[in-house]
Amino acid sequence: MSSSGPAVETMGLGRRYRRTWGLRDCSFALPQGRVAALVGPNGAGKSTLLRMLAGINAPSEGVVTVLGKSPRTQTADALSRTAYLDQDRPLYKDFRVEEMLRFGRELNPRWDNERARRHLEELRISQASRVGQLSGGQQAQVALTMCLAKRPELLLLDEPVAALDPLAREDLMQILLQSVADDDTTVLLSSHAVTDLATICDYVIILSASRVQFAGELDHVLGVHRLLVGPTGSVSATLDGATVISSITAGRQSTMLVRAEQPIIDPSWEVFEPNLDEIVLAYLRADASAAQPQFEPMSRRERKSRNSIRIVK
Amino acid sequence: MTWAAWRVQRSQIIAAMGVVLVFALWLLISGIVTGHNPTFKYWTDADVYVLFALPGVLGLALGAPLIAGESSLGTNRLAWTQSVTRNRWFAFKFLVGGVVTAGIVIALGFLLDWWTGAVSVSALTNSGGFSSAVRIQPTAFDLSGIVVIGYALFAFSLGVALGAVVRRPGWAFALGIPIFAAARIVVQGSLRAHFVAPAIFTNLAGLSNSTLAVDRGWVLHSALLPANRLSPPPGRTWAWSDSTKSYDACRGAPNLSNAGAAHCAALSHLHFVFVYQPESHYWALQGIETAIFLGLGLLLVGLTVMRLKNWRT
Repeated sequence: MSSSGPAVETMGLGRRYRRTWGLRDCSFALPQGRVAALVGPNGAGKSTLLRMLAGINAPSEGVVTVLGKSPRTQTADALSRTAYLDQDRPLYKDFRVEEMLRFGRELNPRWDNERARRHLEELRISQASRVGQLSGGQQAQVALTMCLAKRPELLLLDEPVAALDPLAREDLMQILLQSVADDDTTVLLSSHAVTDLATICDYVIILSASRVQFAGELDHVLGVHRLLVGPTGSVSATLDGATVISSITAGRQSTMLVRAEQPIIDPSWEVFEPNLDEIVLAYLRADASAAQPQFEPMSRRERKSRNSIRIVK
Repeated sequence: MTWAAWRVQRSQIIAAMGVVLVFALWLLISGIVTGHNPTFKYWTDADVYVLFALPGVLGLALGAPLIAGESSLGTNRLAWTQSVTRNRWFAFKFLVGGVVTAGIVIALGFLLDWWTGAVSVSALTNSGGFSSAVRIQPTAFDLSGIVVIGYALFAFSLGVALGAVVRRPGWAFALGIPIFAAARIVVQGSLRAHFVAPAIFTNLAGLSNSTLAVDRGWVLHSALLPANRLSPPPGRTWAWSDSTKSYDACRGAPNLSNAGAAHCAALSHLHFVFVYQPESHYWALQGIETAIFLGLGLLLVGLTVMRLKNWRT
């Protein structure tokens, strides 16, 4: 493999499930050494993409290259360079934690047992305990430890922080960043908790409606998107070289998120720099509005659950 | 990898061994009791039914969860993203499970050898029973020799392959039972008799009186035929009895001696024909039948490997 090429490169990648496409026409290149966020709504194809990159599933169409090779070649060497954390964090529930580590040691030539042991010690997870008896958060930590002890060049993490409480989330991110810094690992992690990502990522891939909407450096993402606020009537005004991602009209005021390579000079709009949250949200909203009415009345159940949250607080 | 393959299957193997051990104990008790008191021979009749089903049930029970058990919990995605190729992972798991399956059946075979000796007193007088004296005949043939290893490994491969298709160990097991039974019935009922050309014994003098060679062999057909024929005339089956009319007329008197019967047969130009597989064909038939089931098993392994290669999540 070439050491300077992209860690991940896809061209027209797609995967079809029976009738629908889980992912379609996905093309991007992720340079090495980046911590990249793969964001998108549920069902956008994040897990489908990561599973293809991990070599679990074959693409239905298109080309995918991971560390210079097709993940479908499945050689032991290629497998040892990539680690993958599944969305469900599967572990053998009847194993003890120490047996889980032995499993990793026997199946991975580059296994770093010392590192695994140290992580678990820091997290106060006893090696004698049964995996199935650990809490969900602890199981996630064990699964991540399995990935890190592999010493991979590329780390693929599917929703690593989902279902974790904020403290566990912090712990996990800490351990992740520390390991990445030590080994210069490329990370591609999917999430819909965008707030967590902005601080640790330097690359963003926005996936929605089964397609890549945007892939680029975080700085670039922030640089080319603008938030425009103006009177409702001015929506029809021409915006040269700008693509409207989504627009919300509230009363007499419209808010638009646009993508524009050049600065926007239009006196009828106030121009703001959006943060990552707002950009991602705009893409997700564009996807949602294409699929369903924008404002759905809150269901009775939803109302009830919100009330109950207030009561608990 | 050997340890990992063993550890993942350990609980199923222990459960299967436990059940087999209970049955082995029962076999021991029933063997001793029946050996001393043949009136208890209905105990051993029940044993024969269990022995009939055991290779299939054991093989399916250990085979069905091999892939389906992992995929229903998602742990296949953990195993396949370690540094071991999918084929190697499968090979080790299959080997461990296959060796255990074959080992249990072989061990039980030794116990059965003893058991046969212990219960043979009653078995010789037991029409549906079991005796080493008639080991080429269907019931005994199916429980002795090396075919049981073939059956068990076929059932194991069948469970594995069905598990890879339906992804649910329970369903794979349930579907495997009728398929296994069908394969056994077809081979035993339609194919086994033709593996090796059968021997023919003709008897003019004693008519239906057979020799020891026929008694200890597996009689496929027997009939009173014209003296110049060894098989029924074209268009007739072995149940055909037209040619015996003149013989019946000659016999006339109800209490005809054996010598008189031979005289009548000679007058009517008839002889009694036995088509049978002699005892000396036992190992040839055993070898061919074992090869057929191992071959079918190998075919299923091939299908499983292809299924794993094009895995759909």
